[in-house]
Amino acid sequence: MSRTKAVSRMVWATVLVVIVIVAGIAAYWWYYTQPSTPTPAAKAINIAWTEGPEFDFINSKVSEFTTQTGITVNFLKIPREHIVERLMLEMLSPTPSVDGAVIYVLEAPTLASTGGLVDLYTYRPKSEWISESFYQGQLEMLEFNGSLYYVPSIWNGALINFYRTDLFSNETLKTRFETEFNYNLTVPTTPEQLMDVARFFSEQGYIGIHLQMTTSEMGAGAYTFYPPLAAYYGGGLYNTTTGQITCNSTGSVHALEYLLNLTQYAQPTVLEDGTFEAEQAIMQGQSGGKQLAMADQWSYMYPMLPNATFPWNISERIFPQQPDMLGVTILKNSPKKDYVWQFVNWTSSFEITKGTTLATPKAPCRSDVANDPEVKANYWVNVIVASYGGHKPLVPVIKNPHATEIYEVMMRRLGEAFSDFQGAGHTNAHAIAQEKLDTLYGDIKTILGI
Amino acid sequence: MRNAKKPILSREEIIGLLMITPALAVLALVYFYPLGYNIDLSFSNWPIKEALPKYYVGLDNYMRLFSDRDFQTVIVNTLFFTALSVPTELFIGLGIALLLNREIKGKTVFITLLALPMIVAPVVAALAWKWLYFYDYGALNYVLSFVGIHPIRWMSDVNYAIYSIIIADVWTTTPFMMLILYAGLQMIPTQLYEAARMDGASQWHIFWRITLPSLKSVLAVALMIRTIDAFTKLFDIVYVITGGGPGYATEVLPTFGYKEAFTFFELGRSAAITMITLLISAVMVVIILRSSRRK
Repeated sequence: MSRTKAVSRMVWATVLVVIVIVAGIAAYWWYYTQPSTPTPAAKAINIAWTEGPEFDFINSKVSEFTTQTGITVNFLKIPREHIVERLMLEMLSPTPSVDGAVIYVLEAPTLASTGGLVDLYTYRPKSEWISESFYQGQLEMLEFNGSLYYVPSIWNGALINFYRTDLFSNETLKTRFETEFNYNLTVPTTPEQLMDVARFFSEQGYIGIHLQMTTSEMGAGAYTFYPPLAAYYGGGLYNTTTGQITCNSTGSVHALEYLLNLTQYAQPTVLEDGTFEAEQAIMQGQSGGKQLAMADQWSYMYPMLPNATFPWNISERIFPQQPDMLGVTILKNSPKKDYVWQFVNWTSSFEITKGTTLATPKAPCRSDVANDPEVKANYWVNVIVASYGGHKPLVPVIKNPHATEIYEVMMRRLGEAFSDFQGAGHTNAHAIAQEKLDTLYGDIKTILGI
Repeated sequence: MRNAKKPILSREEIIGLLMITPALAVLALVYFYPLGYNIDLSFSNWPIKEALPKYYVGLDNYMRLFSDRDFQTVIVNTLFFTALSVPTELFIGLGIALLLNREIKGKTVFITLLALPMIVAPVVAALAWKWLYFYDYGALNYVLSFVGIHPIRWMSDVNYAIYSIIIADVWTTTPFMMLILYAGLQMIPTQLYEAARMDGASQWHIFWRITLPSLKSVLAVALMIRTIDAFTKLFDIVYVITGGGPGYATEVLPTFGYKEAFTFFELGRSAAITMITLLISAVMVVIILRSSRRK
């Protein structure tokens, strides 16, 4: 009995000690999370960034910014797929370690809806941005509830069509194509022509078109094809303005059906390949032991082409595309907002924007850069501009706090559709597309809580 | 003197309490507080994306999860993975441990070499397997081509993707099974084997009647640890090799919970997933322990 009592006393005493410890920790946490009197901020800012050619260029120039302003910039390299989670945690923190960050167009709605980012229009009104040569259309692509959280000064990447010049000028192939399709073999400009040309080259023993159609990489792969193609055929995913879910409309089903059929003429690894694999394939000119006839790839690849195994040239992208924009945003809870603004100002200046445009290369975000003689002298500029909002319209991304979830679940259903299509021996494209997009409709309804 | 009041705690008890206080403090900080917070969160909705405060929703997160078809797929995937990978690791680990339990030259070198996959960081192992699995450049398809097997889309074919994960996991964790079972084999008194041989027992009888029963408690511990690991910590390999795809083909509870929390910021749902994972793994541990106690 006395032993039971002793044990009982021990248990109660232990509980008491645990309560005291937990209370102590809570008091410590509460004390240190109280807002303190602001102290003058050191002239150093932390910017979250991801690796890439645009980073290399800015990093090589940032000492000039420090010389001009006296502000030191520390770059925190964070993988792209983790940047949103890091920023969300930073925005919840009373003592953030990040003052600004380079964010992507797809991440902007999620981050902006938290109210944790600074509206750049408070520093410079829209009219002034436009009068400073920024494209109004591009700014509006990034606006969320009338506010602007970054400008696409760091990256404005266009997808373009790469094609083998020797194959498209081969007389034997040209004759064969004309016999089969009753029109001349030229570089395609519409999705329908592309299907014919890809099929033709596939029949001739080539990879008709190299596509990066992975469904596991947000911002690349199938993400870059499906939503703009759905819009091109009069469908979509979710209409931000009307709040209507359009993912299983006739146009959307047609778009997925088209993509399913196109994958037949692509490389065997079409569902795995992302940007890296596509780059390798173009440089080596082959995939899965077969030579490539065409490839859909980012504009940054263009300067590498002289080192490729086969002769390539570029043309306007066959499909429309979504904006692929990166820019510097300012965290609202940073005590150094004004310093970050100076950095934003510097990165979006004519000189730096011109530098990143030429170094990467990418679509200019300012008309004065696009019209600069040195920039204009490059052949790729016209191709990029035509592909990226010139001839082919830019299809805006979904502007909703749940945009990331909608795109993520879209990628899941596309992955299932591609797998089912392959499993069915490349048949039933329409039925598979309809079934998966009907499922997607239910998914989006759940996400939006409708 | 007999009526003198006894102190609430004896001197030994006070000293004992003081000595365990640091450990309790650490435990409170890293275990009880997060667990309590997670339970609380699992009954809440915290729309941080809309910058709104947390509010309680009762069992709503759990109800929504159980009616979610994708969550059911994830549960099935996790159970399938656990049911296939843990026994495979056990059989291979036991086989190697039995081989090592013999008198062989350079045993230490063999053990070190066989334990290497366990030393490699899971992310590094996953990246290495990802390279092996590549359709075009991967060594696996290259080797298979010598025996006339056509290249396989290890990571993007729904029929193979889960097996790719299992193979990579078995490679990484079999050394753990091997080492723990080898240690167990070393504990069995050699007299038992000598007596059995004198009685004319066959090798199979010796294994079935002496080795296996003597290893019962070690096996239970090994199974328990690996089952919990397979069920709750299968993250790195899936995240690196397939990212949970294609579709939901390789999505498992840890990666699903992670995405709910840090991709979708559905913190309440993610906390509920964690609690369900905890409950299922606790039930499995109880089953393993109970069955190991049976005579």
